[in-house]
Amino acid sequence: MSILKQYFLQPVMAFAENGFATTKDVFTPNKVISKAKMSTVVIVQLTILFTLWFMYGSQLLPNPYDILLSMWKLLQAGKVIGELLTTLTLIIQSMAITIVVSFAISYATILPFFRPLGFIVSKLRFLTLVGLQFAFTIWNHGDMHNLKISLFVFSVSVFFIDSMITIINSIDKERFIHARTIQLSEWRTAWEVIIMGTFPKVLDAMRSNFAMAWMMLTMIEVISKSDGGIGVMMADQNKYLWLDAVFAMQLMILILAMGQDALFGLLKKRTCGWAFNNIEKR
Amino acid sequence: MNDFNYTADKTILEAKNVGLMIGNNIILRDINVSIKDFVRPDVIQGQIIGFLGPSGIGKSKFSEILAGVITKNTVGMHLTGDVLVGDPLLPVHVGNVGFVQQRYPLFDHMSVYANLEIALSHSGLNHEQKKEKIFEILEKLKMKEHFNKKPNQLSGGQRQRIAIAQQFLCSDHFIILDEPFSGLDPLMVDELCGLIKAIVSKDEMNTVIIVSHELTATLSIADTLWLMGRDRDEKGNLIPGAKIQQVYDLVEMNLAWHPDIAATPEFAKFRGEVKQAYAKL
Repeated sequence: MSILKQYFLQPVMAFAENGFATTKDVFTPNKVISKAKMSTVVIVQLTILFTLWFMYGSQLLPNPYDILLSMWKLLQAGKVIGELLTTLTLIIQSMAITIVVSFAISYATILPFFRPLGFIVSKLRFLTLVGLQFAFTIWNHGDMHNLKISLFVFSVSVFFIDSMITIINSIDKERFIHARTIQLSEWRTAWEVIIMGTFPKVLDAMRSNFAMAWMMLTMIEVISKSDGGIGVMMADQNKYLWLDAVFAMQLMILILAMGQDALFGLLKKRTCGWAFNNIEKR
Repeated sequence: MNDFNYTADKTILEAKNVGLMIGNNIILRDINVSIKDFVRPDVIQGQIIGFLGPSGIGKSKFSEILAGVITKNTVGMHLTGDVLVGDPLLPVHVGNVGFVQQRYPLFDHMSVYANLEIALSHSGLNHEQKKEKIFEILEKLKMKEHFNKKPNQLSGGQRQRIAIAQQFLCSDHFIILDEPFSGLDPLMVDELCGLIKAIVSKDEMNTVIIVSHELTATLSIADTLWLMGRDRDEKGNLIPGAKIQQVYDLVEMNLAWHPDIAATPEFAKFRGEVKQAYAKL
């Protein structure tokens, strides 16, 4: 009841009572608005979205009711849970390897010897996965699960490493001078200034790059359908134009990915709470 | 003539023929300057050097050279000459001279306590001794209750005090403060002047170099003044490469060590002279 009151009744009342002021506030640059006003904005935007969807989208897209119904059916059939778990396993394995590889290569650029490597790897983000598929298949001796992991790790790492190297290269010179003037060794300087000092930014980069991983998921999973996964299931449904099921699965992916995003947010708050001290709450 | 009995025989910091080029630009040239140890009977008297000069003239670069941050091995820069520091005089190494930069960088991921503790990592003190020393300095800075805060939870003035304390804990008596008065209100300027005077009254060798544009505050606590600027050719054009144009011995001029010196007519007159000289640099 209190949730209903906080997120629905109060915003609606606020809008009714103070509609003009709310409208003015939400179109004022950099205005910090209350939670109630923000909830009003969300409700208005969702209402517009759903109205447009029902009015014009139904000829092209399945309507929300069909999607939810399809989702319910998929969940009842049970298969989708297994496919989701397959996908999650693939993603978690790949993310773990991506983190290790990306951290190793990015932080290795602290040493001049490895800077060309970091530079070259970050430029590999311009390559296409299709062109690399054959080379990766040979490299993995035809093991399709490993092939998918390799492609995933490659495709995310090249972007993540680029983000990390950009973060490292943008550290102010005064940070290094500061560490040196208090007699820290260059290794300790690297730890405190480069690794610890930029960790919140690295977590943000990780969050963005791993979100991108979900977008690549279908493409990577359909390379070998025998392993299954939500991407394979979605591609199959797409082939028969069962769009309500496709959208239902998209919705499940969205929920999972948002959960992942929230976990990264929580991790940042727990480990780097200091990074939030001077942020304007918008 | 001055009102004090003192000697200043021993050199504790010396820059000899220092020059700096970055690429093809001459930034500094022919800098010869030294700091003497003032000794007064029954008084612990450190040194405060006011270092003035127009913006962009090379004061920060010279400060980095004095702090040992720019060396002959620094890539992209060509440094000539030598900086010697200490007793006996030895070539400066980074860490010998503390350097509080303009924006008071601290380790943002560490608490105030940890920021000070890391400055003591080469001190040879055990955990308890470090703790005692840190809380002693926090007490003096009236910052004891903030020991657990992160730097970005502090005000500008508090952050500056911690940055000074951090450098003071690990350097060998010498600290350079780069633009310490910028952005401070008059009360905070007085507070900072008090802190600097307290630092130099702790040890004979303690020396603070204040790099600043703020004439009144700097002159009111300095015992020596360096003016940096560029020479002019016969046509009045500026010659590339700044050097120390003028060194004022304020003790000898009887313009140092007096309480409320800033309120005296002599001080006002001297301030006017410096301002005029400043305009020609």
